[in-house]
Amino acid sequence: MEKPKQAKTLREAYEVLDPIRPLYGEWMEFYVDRPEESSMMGLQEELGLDPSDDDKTLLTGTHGSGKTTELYRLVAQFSRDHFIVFMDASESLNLGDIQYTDLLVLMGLQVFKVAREAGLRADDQKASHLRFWYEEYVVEKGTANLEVEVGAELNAVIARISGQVKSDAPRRQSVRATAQARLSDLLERLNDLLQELRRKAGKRILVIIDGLDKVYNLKQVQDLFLQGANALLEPACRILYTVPFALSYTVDFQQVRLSFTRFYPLPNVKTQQANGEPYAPGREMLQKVIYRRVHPSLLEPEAVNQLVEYSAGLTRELIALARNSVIIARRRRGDQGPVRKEDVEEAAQRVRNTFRAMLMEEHYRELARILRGEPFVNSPVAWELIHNLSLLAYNGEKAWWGIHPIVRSLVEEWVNRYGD
Amino acid sequence: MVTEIIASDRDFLEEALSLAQGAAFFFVLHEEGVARDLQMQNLQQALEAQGRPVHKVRFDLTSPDLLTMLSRLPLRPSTIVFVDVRGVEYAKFNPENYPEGVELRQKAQNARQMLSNLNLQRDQLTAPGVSLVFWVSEQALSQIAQWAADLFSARSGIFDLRPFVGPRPFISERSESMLYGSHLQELLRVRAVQELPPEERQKRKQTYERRLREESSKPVPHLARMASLHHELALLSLSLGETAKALSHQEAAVALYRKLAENGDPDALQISGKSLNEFGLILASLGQREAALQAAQEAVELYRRLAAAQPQAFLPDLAASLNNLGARLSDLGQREAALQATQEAVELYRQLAAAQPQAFLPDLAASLNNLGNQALWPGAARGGAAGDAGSGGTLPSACCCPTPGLPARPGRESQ
Repeated sequence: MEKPKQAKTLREAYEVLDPIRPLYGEWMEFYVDRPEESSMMGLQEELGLDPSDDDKTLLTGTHGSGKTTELYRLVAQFSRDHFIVFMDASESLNLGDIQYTDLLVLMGLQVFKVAREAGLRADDQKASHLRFWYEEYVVEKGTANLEVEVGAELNAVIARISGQVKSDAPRRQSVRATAQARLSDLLERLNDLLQELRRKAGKRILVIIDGLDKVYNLKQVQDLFLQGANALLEPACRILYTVPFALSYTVDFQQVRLSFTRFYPLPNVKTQQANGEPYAPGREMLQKVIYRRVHPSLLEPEAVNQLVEYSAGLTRELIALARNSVIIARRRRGDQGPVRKEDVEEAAQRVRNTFRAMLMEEHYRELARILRGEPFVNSPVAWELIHNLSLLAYNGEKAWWGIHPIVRSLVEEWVNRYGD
Repeated sequence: MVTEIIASDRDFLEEALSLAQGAAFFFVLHEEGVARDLQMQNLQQALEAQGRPVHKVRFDLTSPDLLTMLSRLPLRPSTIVFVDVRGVEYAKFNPENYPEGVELRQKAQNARQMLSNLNLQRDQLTAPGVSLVFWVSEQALSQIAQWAADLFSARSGIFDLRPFVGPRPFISERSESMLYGSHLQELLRVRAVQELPPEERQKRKQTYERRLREESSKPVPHLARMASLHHELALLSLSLGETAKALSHQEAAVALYRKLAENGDPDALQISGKSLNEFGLILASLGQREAALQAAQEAVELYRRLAAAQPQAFLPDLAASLNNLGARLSDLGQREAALQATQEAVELYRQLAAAQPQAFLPDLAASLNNLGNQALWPGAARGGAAGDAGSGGTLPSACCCPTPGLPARPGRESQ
């Protein structure tokens, strides 16, 4: 697609209402600031104010709440006075089978690359010290040379090594076993290089590890953090790890959370307050998200209001629902629309049917409790509801949990049929 | 009415696919079988008539790598790929509930793995820039929403093409992968440490001791970080046969969590109780009975205080701690005291099970079983976990459940 621009037809609207794409590069044009209480400003300020060279942050947030887009913005902000190492764990590691050792091995390689890009030669003492470790224990003899020139060649070598670790299970097991038995050595060499880089370049190093929040198997990611917490805290640089939102509800995670410097859950944008009153700043922001992408003449105001209402404050939900409403409106009225409230209702009905297929009896029971105004109780059923987005957490004077507006009528229907 | 809905969804899907020019994920609800095949064929013809090439791949337990399958297709941006999804419904079963060798266990494991991998491939699946249409049953959709949640949340639409929507069976099986006993996990953690070469354990110990000194010398030390380091050092010391040192590190960790709690962190006290219980179980596994008893007693005291303030939140932990205490007393042959502690656990579980039978009846049953065993075979007759492994030895392979016959559920015994 060419440079994205505000849609003037419903066909164009369909294209720019893409729920998969996080905003970066030219698409950042569509970015709308979140209301202050739902933004990353708190974290940005804290990271900016913290003079530490080695603080460790855990970031989480609901699926589709805009986390990755916010991380890209964070990178843009901090790249001025930090060396940024951005690792998408889902690209460079096998998240179906991951341990903290794998993460540290790949992180070391990325740091090596950044150090080389910053001007450290491959035969610089600290850089070569780390390189020897990889050549001895990770790189298969004759398959990759870390002494190559910085740029495409080095990127390709590192991609080849991580590709092997990612997709070749026996190779991964073997690297893991070898690295695990020599991890303190790796950490020592890595830290020497990090300190050298910091000293020579006068910049702090910020490593961002995105994608760990995509590991659905909480047991696996919990193991990673519980078993590896001290090792993951060890590198002498600033690190931000993403974690799955549901994990933050488990008791064991609290132990991990406390030992990290900070834990930041990206708050969902509110469309209403805990008492059910509409929340204007959140609604206005979500309206802007639509109008930034689609010309107002293509949507009736009531349709936009309804989209916002049904989005539950999640930008990805908003965009997906708008995309489906566009299809319906286009069928009914052609390429100039406009999208009407009834189109949104029909699109929402389809989403509702999805939830109808997904929700189980125990889910309804728990949602019925919330509907009655009873307090949120942390339980595995609640984690599932949070994970499938039928229950959403919001911040206020104190945290509160609301039923997804599209799901609400299903719960009411269930209560009417089966009682409390 | 039903016919209208079908026609509407069918048309709606066709419209959405004709608009989709880049990467997009669609889901079509349709049970497996001939009717699904016919629907696919019918839609394929309609799309091809519009000039949209359509390919079909089967995504099931025997061909679980969608990315590789796609890489073999001649894809271009206008291509639409129908993904015929089968067999992922098995992901709803918890493999751990079925013994090794049972076919269902393997299928459940494979289905979960297959969906987890699919989830992780989300971004790579968008790379070819084609529309993927997943044809799924209702149960499969539910499992995809759970195990491939990230991919599912990026969907462009769901279309219900089922000819008849019958009553949906209620399924009560929990996704128990989210529930697992922390003491089991702690044992695995100890085991992982023990599997390291002694020189690596020694080196890690030195690294963390150095880090601990650095942290404690800071003007404002990070207490939880220090507690975490003490806990790790306790495990490393234990693995090196330095039991006294391990105990001292563990005590330091608990003291720091208490301090954090006094400083106003509500979770820290609970963590210290959990930490005590876990460590008590490990000590018991290693035959350190006196030390294990001390840890269990401290955990009970702590949870008594917490439960007095917030019974709803902490009575289950108190009951589990009392169970542990009963087992540790029994290890030392203190039959009367063991019976008293386990009796109290039984009473608490009775109360809890009366309110929430589904959640607590298994714990009540396990506690009653403990009670019976303690009454019949006091002290030395108890086998299994509290065997004479000796200090600094390797961990026994069995979990340290209070009774060899009926294990308490993970997470209930120790937390």
